[in-house]
Amino acid sequence: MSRAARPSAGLFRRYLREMVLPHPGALALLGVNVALRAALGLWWPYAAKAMVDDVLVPSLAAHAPFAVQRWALLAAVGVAVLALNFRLQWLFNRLLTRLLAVVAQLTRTRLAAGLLAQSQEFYDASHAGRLLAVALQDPANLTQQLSANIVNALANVAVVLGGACILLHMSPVLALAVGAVFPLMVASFLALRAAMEEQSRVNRESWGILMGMVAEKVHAARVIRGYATEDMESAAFRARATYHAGLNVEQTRLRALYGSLNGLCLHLGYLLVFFVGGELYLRGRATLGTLVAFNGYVTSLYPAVLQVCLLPQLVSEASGSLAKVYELLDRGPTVANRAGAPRLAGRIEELRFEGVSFRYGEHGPWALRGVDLRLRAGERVGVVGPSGSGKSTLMALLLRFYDVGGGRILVNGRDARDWDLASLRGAFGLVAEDPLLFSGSLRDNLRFGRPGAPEEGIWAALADADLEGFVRAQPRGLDSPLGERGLSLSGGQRQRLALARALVASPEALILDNCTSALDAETERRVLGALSRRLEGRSAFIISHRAGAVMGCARVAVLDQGRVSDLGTPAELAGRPGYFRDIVAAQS
Amino acid sequence: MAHGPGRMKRPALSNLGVFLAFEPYFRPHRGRIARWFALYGAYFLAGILTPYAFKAYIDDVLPGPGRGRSACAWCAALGLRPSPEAALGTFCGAYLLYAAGLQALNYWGALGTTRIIEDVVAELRASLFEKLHRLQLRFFDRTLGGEIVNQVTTDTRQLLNLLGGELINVSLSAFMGAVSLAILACWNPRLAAIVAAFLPAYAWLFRRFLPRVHRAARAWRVREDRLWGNWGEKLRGMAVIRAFIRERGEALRHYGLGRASADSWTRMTLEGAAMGSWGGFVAGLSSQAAYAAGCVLVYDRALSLGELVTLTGFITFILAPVQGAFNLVNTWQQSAVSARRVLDLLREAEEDPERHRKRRLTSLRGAVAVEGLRFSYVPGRPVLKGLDLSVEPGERVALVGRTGCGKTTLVQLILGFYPAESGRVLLDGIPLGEIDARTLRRFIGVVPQELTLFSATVRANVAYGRPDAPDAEVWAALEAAQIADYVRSLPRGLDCPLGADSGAAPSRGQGQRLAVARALLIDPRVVVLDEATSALDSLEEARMQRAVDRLLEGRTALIIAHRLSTLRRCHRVVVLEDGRVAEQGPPEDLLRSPDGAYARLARAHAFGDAP
Repeated sequence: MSRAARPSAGLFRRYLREMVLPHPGALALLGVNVALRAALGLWWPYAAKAMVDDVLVPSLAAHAPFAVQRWALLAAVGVAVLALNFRLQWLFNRLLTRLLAVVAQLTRTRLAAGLLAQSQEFYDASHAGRLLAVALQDPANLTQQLSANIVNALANVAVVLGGACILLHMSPVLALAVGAVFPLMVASFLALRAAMEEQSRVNRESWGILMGMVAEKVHAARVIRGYATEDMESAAFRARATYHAGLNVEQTRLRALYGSLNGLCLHLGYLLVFFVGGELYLRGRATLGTLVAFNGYVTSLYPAVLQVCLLPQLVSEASGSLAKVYELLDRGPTVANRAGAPRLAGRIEELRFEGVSFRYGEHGPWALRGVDLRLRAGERVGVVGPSGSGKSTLMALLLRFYDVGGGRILVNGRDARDWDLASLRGAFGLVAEDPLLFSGSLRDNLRFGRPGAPEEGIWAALADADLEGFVRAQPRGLDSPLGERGLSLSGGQRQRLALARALVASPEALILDNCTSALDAETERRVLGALSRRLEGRSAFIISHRAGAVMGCARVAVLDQGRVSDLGTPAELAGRPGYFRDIVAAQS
Repeated sequence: MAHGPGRMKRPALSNLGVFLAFEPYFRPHRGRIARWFALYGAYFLAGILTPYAFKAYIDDVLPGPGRGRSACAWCAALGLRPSPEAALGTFCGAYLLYAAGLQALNYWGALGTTRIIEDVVAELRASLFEKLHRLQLRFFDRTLGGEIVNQVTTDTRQLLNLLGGELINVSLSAFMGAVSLAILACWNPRLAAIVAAFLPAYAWLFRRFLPRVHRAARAWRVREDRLWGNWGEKLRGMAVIRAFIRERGEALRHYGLGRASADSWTRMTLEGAAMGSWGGFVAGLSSQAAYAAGCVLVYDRALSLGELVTLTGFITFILAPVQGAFNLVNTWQQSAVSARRVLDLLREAEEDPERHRKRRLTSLRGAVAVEGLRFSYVPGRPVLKGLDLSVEPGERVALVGRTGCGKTTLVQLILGFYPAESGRVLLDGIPLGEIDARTLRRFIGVVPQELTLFSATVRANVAYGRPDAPDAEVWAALEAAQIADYVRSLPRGLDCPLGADSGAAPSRGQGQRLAVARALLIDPRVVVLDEATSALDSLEEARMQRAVDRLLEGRTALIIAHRLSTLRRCHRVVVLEDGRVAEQGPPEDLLRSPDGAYARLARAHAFGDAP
C-alpha cells in the first residue's frame, strides 16, 4: 500500500464530517462549553499574580497590615470559578459521552450494513476473525480514543490558548519566549510521525492476524485434537503472540521517545521562565507575581499540553482503524443491485442459463464453461456430476452470490442482474449441503427465512423433513436452544433442519444442493418422498450425486468439468452409456 | 452461553483476588520487575524536584522578598557571594541537566514497563491458546466462537492496559504523594493538615460511585459479548443470510444489540466521569484552601514565598494518586471483568488434566473395543445406552444406522473427545482412561463429518498431521484420495493457498478428498471416516474406495457411511439403533435375514438408487 499520500488527516476529516458533524446541536453546545471553560481558565494566572504582587509583596516589604479584603476576594472568586468549572465539566461529560455513544453506534451500524452488503467473494477472501475486528473492535477503538483523548485534548487546546492570552497581556516578551517551545514540539512530532503511523499500521495488521488465528483454530478444535497437533499449533501461536509483543514494544519505544521529547520541551518552557523571566526581573521589567503566574501556568497546564501533544499521534492511530473502516464502507459490493431494477414477483415461468461461464478469482481454473440449461415453471431439473464439476457454483450464480463471468442467466426472460436482488433471492429457497444453523432456539432457526411464519407451517415443514418426532421429543419443543452452528445435533439432523427452514420460507422455487447427503437411506427415502409431494407443481433444481435423488425429475443435466455433457430424462440417460448410467450401475 | 453450570460453582473472588491470580505470570520476571521499579521510582522521585526548583529559584536565586533562609547561609558558609546573574545562570544550567536526566529516566522506564507487560501478555495469550486445546470439547459446543476470540485477544489486552499503565502509575504516584506530603509537613505541619483534611472526601466519593461504575461495566461487557458472539457466527453464515434475504433483519438485530451495548457504555462512562468531576472539584477546593491559608502563613513569616508558590505543585503530587485512582476505577472495573473471564477460561475443566501421568502409546496394533458405553450430551437424554463392540486389528467395520443414532458420538468417544458416562473404551486392550489421548490420536487418522480446511496452502492442509512429509508422500496421499489431478490444475500446485481469491476454491467433494488425503498421510493404524465421502458421487467414491482400500490393508478402519457400495467393501457391518448395536456381521450375511435392520437399509437404497 502506498503511504505517500499520508491519508490520516484526510480520513480523520472524513470521519468527523460523516459521523460527528451531523450532530450540530451537540457540537455547538460542546463548543460553548469549552469556550466558557477556557474563559474561566484565564482566572488562575491572574489570581496567582495578584496574590503575590498585590497581597504578599506589599505586605512583606512594608510591614503593612495583611490585605485581608483582597485576600478574601481572591479566595472567594477562586471557589466560585471552581464550582462553575465543575458544573461545566459535568455537562461537557454528559454531552460528549452521549454524542460518542451515538457516533460509535452509527459507525458500527454502517459497518454492519456494509458487511451485509458485501458479496460472497469478499467473504471467501476474508477471515471471519479479521472481519470481527473491523466490525466491532475498530469502531470501539475509535470511540475510546476519541472520547478519552481527542475531544478532551481539543478542549484543552482552548484552555491553553485562554491562559496564553492573559500571559501575553502580562508580559509579551516572556510569553513569546515560553511559546518558543511549541515549534519544537511540532518539529518532534513531524520527525516521528511517519515512523509512528507505519508502526501503528504494522501493529494493527499483526493484531488482525492474531485474532484471525484464534478464530480459525477455535473452529478447527476437533481437527486439531484428531491430529494431536496441539503442540504445533500452540508453538505457532506462541511465536505469533511473541512477535506481536515485540511490535508493541517497538510502538511503545516510539511513543516513549515522543513523550520524552515533549517532556523535554515542557521543561525547556520552565527553563525559559526561569532564565528570561529572571533576567527581566533583575532588570525590573517583570514582577515576581508574573514569574509565579508563568510558572503556575506551565505547571497546571502540563497535563493539558501533554494531551494536546498526543493528539496528532492519536489521530494517526485512529486513522489505522479509520482506514480499515472506510476500506470496507467504500468497497461497493461486486454484486450490486441495479438502480430501479424491478422486483421479481409471482411465479417463475422460466429460468435459462445461456453460455454461463465463471471462475473463482482472476487466475483460477474455469469452474463453468458455457453452460446452457433451462427450467420451466413447475419443472424439476436434476443436476448431477462428479464433485468439482460446478454444480454448486451454478446455483450460487443463480442466486447471484457471484455474478457470471460470461454468458447470462435469464429469469422470466430478463437478465438476472436486472432483477431486484432481494426479490430474486427471495424467490428461491436454497438448501445447501453444509447446513449452517445459528445459535438460538429451533423456532428462531426455522423461522429464519420468514420471521412471522405460523406455527402450523413450521410443524408441516418439520414433518416433511422427518424431524417432527425429534422436535416433539425435546423437552422444550420448538424453544429448545441450539449451540453455535447447531453442534448438539447430528449431521443428518442439521441437514433436515436446514431443509425444514427452507420449506418454512416457502419460496417460489427450491434449490436442493445435495441436502440429504448425511441422511441414511431410509430417512432419505422418507424425506424425498415428502419433498416430491410438496414440490408437486413447483420448480426445483435438485443437485445430487445419487441417481436416486433425481429420478423424479423431468430432466437431468450431467455436468462435467464445468460443461453440460449430457441432458435428458432420467430414463433416457440411464439407457445410454455415460456418467449417469455409470452411477446408477455403481449403486445397484 | 459462556456461563454454563460448570462455572457457577466456584466461590466468587474479589476483584483484587482475580488480579492476584495472575501473579504466577509475573513471577519469572521478578528480577526485571525489581530493576525496573528502581528506575521508575527514581523517575517519580526526581519529578518532585520540579516544583522544588521553583522554590529555590524564588527564595535563593532571585533577590527580593522571597530571599530565604537556607541557601544564603550555605553560600555564606562556603564564602561565596555570587552575583544574581551568575546565580541565575548556574541555576538554569543545573536545571537543564536535570530536565534531560528526568526525560531519559522517563523513556527507559516506559520502555521497561512495556517490555515486561508485553512478555507477560504474550505468555498469557499463549497459555490461553494452549488451554483451548486441552479443554473438554463440550466447551466449544456451548460457547460462541466469537466470545472465545474476544477472551484470548481483547480481554488480555484489557488486562494489559490496567497492569501496564495505570496500576503501576498509581502506586508509584502514591509513593510520590506521600513524599510530597512529608515535605509539606516539614515546611509547615498546619498546611499539610489542611491538605490531608480533604482526603476523606475522596473516600466518600469512592464509596458512592464505585459500585455504580462496577455494575455498569459488568452490564456493558455482557452486552458487548452478545454483540460479538452474534457477529462471530453471522459472519460465517453470511451465505445463509443472503439466501434467505435476511440482511435487513440482521442489520436490525445488530443495531439492537449495539444499542444495548452503547447504552451500558454511556452509563458506565457517565458514572466514571461524574466521579472524576467531583474529584477534580475537591482537589481544586483543597488547593484553594491551602493557598489561602499559605498566604496568611507567609505574612506571619511561618512559610517562605517560594514555598507558597510551589504549594500548588506539591498539592498536585499529593492528590495525583487519588486522581489516578479515580481514572483507574473505570479501567479497573472493566479489567476486572476481563480478568475474571480470562481466569474462567484458564480454570475451565480440561479434557484430561492427568495426561502427563498416563501411558504414552508408542505403537498401536489397532484393536478397538467398547464395553457397555453410555453417554449423553444433555443429562437424562442418553445417546449411547450401553453399547458393546469389538474390532480386530486390520478389520474394516462399517457403522450404519439412522441419523442421530449415535454413530458420530461413538467414534468421538473412541477418540477420547468426550468422556464416557459409564462403560469403557479399550485400545489394544488398554483402557482409554489410562492412555495419554494425544499419543493415541497420532495413530488414528480421522476425517470428521464437518469439513475443516485451513486458510493455508494445499500442502499445509494435507500435511497437517505431518508437516515434514516429503512431497512424494503428499502426492501419494493425494493420488489415493483421487484429488491429485485437481491439485495439479491449481496455479501453484501444492503451494497454492486455499481461498477463492487465489483461484483454489475446492468444492465440498474436493475438500472432503483433501481431508481424506490428510488422514492417510499420517500413516495411521486406525482410520476413522465419518461420512468422509458424502459429497462424492458413487463413481468417484468407488474409485477412491479402491485406492483407499489398498492403503487400508492391514489397518483398522471405522467407516460411517450410508451408501451400500461403501458398506459392501467392509468386513463387517454394525447397525446401531437407539444407542445400541442392533445387528452386526459380514454384509452378505446380514442381507440374508430379510427382517434385519441392514436388509431394510439395503431395500431403501434399492428405492433410492435403482432407476
